[in-house]
Amino acid sequence: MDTKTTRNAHSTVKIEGNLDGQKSDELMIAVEQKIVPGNVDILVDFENVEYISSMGIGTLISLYRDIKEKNGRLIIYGIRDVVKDIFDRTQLNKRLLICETEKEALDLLYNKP
Amino acid sequence: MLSSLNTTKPAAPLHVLIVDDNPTITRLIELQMSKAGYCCATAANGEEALQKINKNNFDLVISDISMPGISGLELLTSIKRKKPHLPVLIITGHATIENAVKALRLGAINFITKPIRFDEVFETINKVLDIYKQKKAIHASAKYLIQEARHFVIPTSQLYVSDLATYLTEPLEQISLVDTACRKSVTMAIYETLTNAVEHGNLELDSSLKFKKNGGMAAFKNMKEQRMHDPAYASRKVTIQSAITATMAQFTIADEGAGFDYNALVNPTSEDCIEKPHGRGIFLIQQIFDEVRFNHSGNSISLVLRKKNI
Repeated sequence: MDTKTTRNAHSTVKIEGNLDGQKSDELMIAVEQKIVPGNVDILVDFENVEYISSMGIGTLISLYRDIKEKNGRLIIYGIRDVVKDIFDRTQLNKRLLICETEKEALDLLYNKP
Repeated sequence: MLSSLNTTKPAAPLHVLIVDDNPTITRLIELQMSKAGYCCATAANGEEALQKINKNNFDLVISDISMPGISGLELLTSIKRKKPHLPVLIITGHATIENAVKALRLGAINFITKPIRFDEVFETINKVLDIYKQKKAIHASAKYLIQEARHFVIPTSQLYVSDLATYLTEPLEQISLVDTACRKSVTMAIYETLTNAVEHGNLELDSSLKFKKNGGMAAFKNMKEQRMHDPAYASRKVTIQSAITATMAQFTIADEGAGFDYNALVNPTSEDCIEKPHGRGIFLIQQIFDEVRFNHSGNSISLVLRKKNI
């Protein structure tokens, strides 16, 4: 799992492969390591995620709640149609911030039109 | 000499989209491909390529990696998101070899370096054609499948959930009961079902523990590990039966746990539950399969998937 921290005080975590039990653990650890005072906004790159398990959904919800508590934002971008369908059906699209592209996610984070 | 290239003309012409901002290159590729019997279309940039891909059924896309606007890699990513099976061949200059490696990771079938050697291009295309032919041959015979039945009784400690879910569901795609994207969803649903049979059924673990703060996941894993080595739990078995025909697939997965009250399942999309991290496994399974039934005690689940006439 690639992670990078940028100067703009957010971190990006890229998930390689499907978000199953194993990958959910890795995501949780990667994000928890990135959340530090002054840097609580997290972008998750879903470009290479073909499907997501219930464990993956649970992990995203858990992270969403943790980050919200710290006044940060969790933004997911680059989701494929299959994953989008799961987010729609579970209605997580109403809770999670989901963007098409990284640019859109950054614009949302830094309030650019 | 280009004219002496050994090219195999495809029986039915393959439709190829050539994408490059340099019209000389596009024209050159188009000329060689057309000579070899391929049906070609061209696009001068990524935007035009995406429009054409949305409207047409191409068999192959050949794209330059460096283009103004949407780059070759961005185009590849968009294609893999919308049409994951459409093969994409990337053309790159020597200076961008790292990007070419990235292209392979993103799902390109191969990359060729400039100056373009057409024997290399045709060799790659022939490989794609071979896979096409093989798939077509399997599909032609597979429609006559009467039934494929499998029956496993697996001790909990020997059940490798992820690999088994793939193994059980691969035939669905081979016989065209579902397409690749749908097969992956079905694999995920079987993965959920097997995880339930192992974790909740035979090992009697509580999944809500996973998401408890301050070490919930570690505690869950610890308990799972202990029970995996405790014969009282680990000797329990999971029974899996599958029956696949050309029009439907049925899976029955049973564990030796106490079962559960499936009537008490709550809707995870309700306002009270939507922010709870657990309790979506069966909901996801119900979204994928046409029928989901439990036995009386709730330790056996039957899943039915029917071929969609799309």
